[in-house]
Amino acid sequence: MSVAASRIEASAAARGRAISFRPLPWLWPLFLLLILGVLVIYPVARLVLGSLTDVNPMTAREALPPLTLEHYLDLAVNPTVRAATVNSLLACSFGALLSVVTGLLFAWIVVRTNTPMKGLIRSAGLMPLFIPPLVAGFAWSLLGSPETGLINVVLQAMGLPWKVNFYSLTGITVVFGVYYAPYVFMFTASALENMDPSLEEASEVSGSSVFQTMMRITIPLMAPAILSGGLLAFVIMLGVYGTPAILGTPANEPFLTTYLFSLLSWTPPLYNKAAAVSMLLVAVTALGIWLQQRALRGRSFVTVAGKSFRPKLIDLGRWRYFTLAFGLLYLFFVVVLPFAALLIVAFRKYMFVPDIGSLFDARQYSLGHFEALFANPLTMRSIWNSLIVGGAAAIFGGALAFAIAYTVQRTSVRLRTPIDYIATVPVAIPGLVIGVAYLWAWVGLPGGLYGTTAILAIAFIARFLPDTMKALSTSLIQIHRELEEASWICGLGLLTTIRKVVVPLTLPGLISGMTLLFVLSIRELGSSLFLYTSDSIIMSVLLLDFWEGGSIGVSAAFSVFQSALLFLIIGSVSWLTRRKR
Amino acid sequence: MKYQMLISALIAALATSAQAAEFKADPALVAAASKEGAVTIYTANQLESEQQLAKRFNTRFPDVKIEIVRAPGSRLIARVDAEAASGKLAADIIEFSDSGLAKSYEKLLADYAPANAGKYPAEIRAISAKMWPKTAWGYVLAYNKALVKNPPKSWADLSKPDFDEKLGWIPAGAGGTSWTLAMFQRKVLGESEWKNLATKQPVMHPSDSPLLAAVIRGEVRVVPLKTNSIIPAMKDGAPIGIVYPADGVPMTVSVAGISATAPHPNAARLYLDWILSEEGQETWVNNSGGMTVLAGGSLPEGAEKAGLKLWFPSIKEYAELRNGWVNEWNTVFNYRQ
Repeated sequence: MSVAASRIEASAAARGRAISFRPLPWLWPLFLLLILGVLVIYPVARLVLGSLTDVNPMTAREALPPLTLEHYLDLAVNPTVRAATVNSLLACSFGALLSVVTGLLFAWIVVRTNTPMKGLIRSAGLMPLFIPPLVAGFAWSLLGSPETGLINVVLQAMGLPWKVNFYSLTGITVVFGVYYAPYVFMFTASALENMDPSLEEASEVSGSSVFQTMMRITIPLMAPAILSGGLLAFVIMLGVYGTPAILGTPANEPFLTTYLFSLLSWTPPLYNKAAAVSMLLVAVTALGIWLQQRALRGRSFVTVAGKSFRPKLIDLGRWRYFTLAFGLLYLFFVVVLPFAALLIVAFRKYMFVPDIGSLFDARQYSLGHFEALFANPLTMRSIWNSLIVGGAAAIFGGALAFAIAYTVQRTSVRLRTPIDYIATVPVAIPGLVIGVAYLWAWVGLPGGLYGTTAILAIAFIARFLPDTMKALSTSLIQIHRELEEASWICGLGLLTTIRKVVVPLTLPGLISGMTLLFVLSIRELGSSLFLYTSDSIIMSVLLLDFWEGGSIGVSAAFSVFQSALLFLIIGSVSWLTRRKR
Repeated sequence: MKYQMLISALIAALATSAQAAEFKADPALVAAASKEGAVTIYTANQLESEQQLAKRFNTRFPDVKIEIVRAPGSRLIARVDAEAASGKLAADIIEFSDSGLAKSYEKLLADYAPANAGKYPAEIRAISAKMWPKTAWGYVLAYNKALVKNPPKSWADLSKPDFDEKLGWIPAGAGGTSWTLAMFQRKVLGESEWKNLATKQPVMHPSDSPLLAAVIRGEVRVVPLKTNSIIPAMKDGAPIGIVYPADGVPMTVSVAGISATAPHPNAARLYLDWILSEEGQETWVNNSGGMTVLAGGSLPEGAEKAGLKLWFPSIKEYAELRNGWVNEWNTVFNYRQ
């Protein structure tokens, strides 16, 4: 019997044994659907309606205004939309390709080779996940701007005729490629860890070299995981605003996200056209997600075979120092160099570096930007708001994701499938589009949610629901049903079983899911750009305000502060969880 | 044209550096404002300029904390729209750098007039009875002193080959000030001016502040900027120089009013009374490098000697031409359409 067939049977058997949800068999799924309706369906429906009408969401009170396809027709003929679509597709495709090369190499080094300091290399491979795209874009504008980028200053000082220009499509592609490699790394590393090494051994026994084995056996076997990771990186890049905003604007290179933002920043804002552009972004993203899901489906045929393997380590000999150097170089370019640039700018009075000597002139440095940063009353408010919004999103989003994941995976209630499907929909909606959809949905309701920290938390919960559910599902799957059944037999009710058995057992997964949600919320920019007011401003938006306001030094100081804060939070959580274990 | 000459003549004739009269506030208003303790200002003006004004205001009235919400003109208006629609307008004072659009926001504002209302030109007062020229500024040229040895002397000089791909610019539709500049170029410098400039492939920045940062960093060599962006940075040691172009300085008058739903109406009133007073306007000019349309107001540092040709747009044309011309500008510069 093939692995696939045995999986199908096992899955059918599991469903047969699924816990029937006796109390409130209808009310519970309806309650979940109601929440998802408010979080996902209503805002998206308003957005679709907005793209098909001429009404202004600020003033519209009509239930069903006349419909028009004008905004979509305009998209088809508008040269800027065409340029933005081409730029987005080019930068994200080549960026994803670069991510695949980098991420795969990392996965191979970490899982299959005897490279020294693998722990450090593994951390290096994941570190970009915690650097907000805006901060990455900002740091690389300081390093790679064509006229005064620090890299160019150094190249000039060395007498070299080369010049780098990150204010370009190539620059954005490179930044995308290296900063989104962790997504490919995560997918391919776990595929490599779970792969049956016997085929590779057979290849080597037959006389193939390490390289030949890698090209002929390993990579083809991992193709679905590679494709899946690459497509995920592609759709995430497609929704990023910060990097193309900083590196693309000076080069007049529009992207779909920056174009969308400019439509709503114009006087007067073009809400309907923005809604149509949002739908275009959703369509492209959904296509990517669909392809990714298809690729992922194929993945189980080759990597998950029901038993675990200890992957054989390849002895690289002296080449292991080369792979170590690659890992360190990546760490240097992705983390060390950008943060060095941010630190220089944060402490430097004016960001004019005529020559390399000026970089080491102590008179040029002061704490002025940090003083200016904290003299602004919005700074402390934004920090406080970010922590509240992140905390609320983590707690309520974690609880909701747990409720949905548990219902879908462990019960046999009706409407499980639509609940699962709707909860996954936000994967295909870029953050900026969620923001526009929420603006459409809530702004016109006086005294309602708009302008509160709650709407930001709700938007983040909706946006990251699929990610949180995925993190939780993995731990739920690991708990054998026998434990729940034993609890039932002992006479404990469903809620008590969940509280006493399921939650404690899934706690590490729950904590890591909530931490993920907290971190993602703190660094999220796109979905908050249209939802904040002066009272509910959060750190990522204030950082953009500082940058747009030309306060480069203050922006750098704030970037350094935010990164330190994120590092501290992630460090503390992982230390606490380790202690608990 | 009559209107433009009138204001220019008024400013030129009365430009003196006489000691500004000290602002005398109504003690009851000061007490009420101090009790409210804060005032929130929505502005498109440069953050640093507003912070300097706030600092000076606080030396006189330390109990009123000033919160500045700053965004580029168009974004600020979108923000005001969204907050007003949801009943969450947090502003006490709203400032519009786009006097053409200001009129349509009158309904959000409370009745207000400063004690010295008569000292402001009637043409500016005609924008709205609820809005007052809190600040004014002129667009001049800034250049990086380390990189530009022969700075331009006029807007026309920018057409020299020295400045190919070396200019920074701001899109016409970004806000009131940039629209004034675009209008000035076309009406005063000639119909072909936009096309000439477009061939230079200027680097576009979303607002003044990033332009200032770009010229200081040396990303671009020459940029158009407000006097109040350049002068404070120069005083602070930034490596830039200022040029008052011989062929004219396009002027923007930024008007402000008190929100009808202001959470701190007395503090808002006190702040506007102060900034619109002779003391407030002199602070704006002498400390922040701005300009004023108050009768008898002075000019910023270095401006007197230059024999300024101030250019004010006609308020009627400002509103009427805007959309059509901005669209044309976008086409010429291949900017968002």
